[in-house]
Amino acid sequence: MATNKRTYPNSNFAWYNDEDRLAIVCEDTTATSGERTKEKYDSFQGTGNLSATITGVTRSYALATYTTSSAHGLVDGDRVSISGTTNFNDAALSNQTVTVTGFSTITFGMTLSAASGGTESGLTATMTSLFIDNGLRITYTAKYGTIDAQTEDLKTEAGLDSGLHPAVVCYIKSRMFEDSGDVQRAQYFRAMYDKMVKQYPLRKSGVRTLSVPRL
Amino acid sequence: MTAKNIIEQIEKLFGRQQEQYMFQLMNDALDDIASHKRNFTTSKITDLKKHQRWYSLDDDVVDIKRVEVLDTNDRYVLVPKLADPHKILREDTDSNSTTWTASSGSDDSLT
Repeated sequence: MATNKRTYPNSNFAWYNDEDRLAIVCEDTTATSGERTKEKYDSFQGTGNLSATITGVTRSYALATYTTSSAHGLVDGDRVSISGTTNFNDAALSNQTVTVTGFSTITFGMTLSAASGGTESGLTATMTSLFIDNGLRITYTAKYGTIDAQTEDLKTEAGLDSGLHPAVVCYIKSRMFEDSGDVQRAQYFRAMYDKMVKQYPLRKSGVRTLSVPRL
Repeated sequence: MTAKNIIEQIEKLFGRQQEQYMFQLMNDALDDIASHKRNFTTSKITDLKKHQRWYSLDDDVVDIKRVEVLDTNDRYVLVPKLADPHKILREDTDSNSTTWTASSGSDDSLT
């Protein structure tokens, strides 16, 4: 079944990283970018994929509570843009952090910069997220999990393949002999550990190559 | 194999040992294996945020294998890694621009 042509990531995304951060850049297709002009590559500037119709808003001091016509899907700290309200249309609403904890699935809170505006109802205002929900998937090689209880399994808790469990035993023995000053045995178990790690994964089958019998 | 199984094997040779020390040695072994094998791959999903260039990586990240962006058909599409980000972004600057304004987003400097 044919699907609609995607609109992103056609904007040529790319990534690079340093020691502890990942950078995402994409072609800046926004001619009048709010951040920069005449730069071809910039941070993602597209529209978010979560939106909802706001039907009403109430205010208690600086905290505004917005009600949507359906579940909004937001979580604490998400940033959204709101347009269409009458008394709450200040500039700050173009980029605001929302509070969700303590609200229902169709309401969210927002702390306004100024405690102004009265209750509004019967609205057809719009909330649009300033992010793509779950829009980035990073696949990486990771360290194994840590062990801190006797009942924990190295396979299920730490993610270490069963075939490498004996290597852990050899490593510990090597360290223990080293601590006790028995360098010879420490080196023996260290060599066994190195060999196990180097050779893993072992071949599942004993057949290394296709063996053609002589006729 | 559980941590208890390993401790039992060690204690047959060395006698009773402190539990915390055993855990520390096990975790040292896991870190050492991870640095050699790099075969434990996992994925993390996060929001793609407007005007945000940098995303912090968890401590357990050893090496990034691939990065994908969700497209409008709800499929993750592979995006390329810049081999030389300095080159592409350095050439990005338009010296004749008179309308250049300072970035209002979070830190987007090259490092």
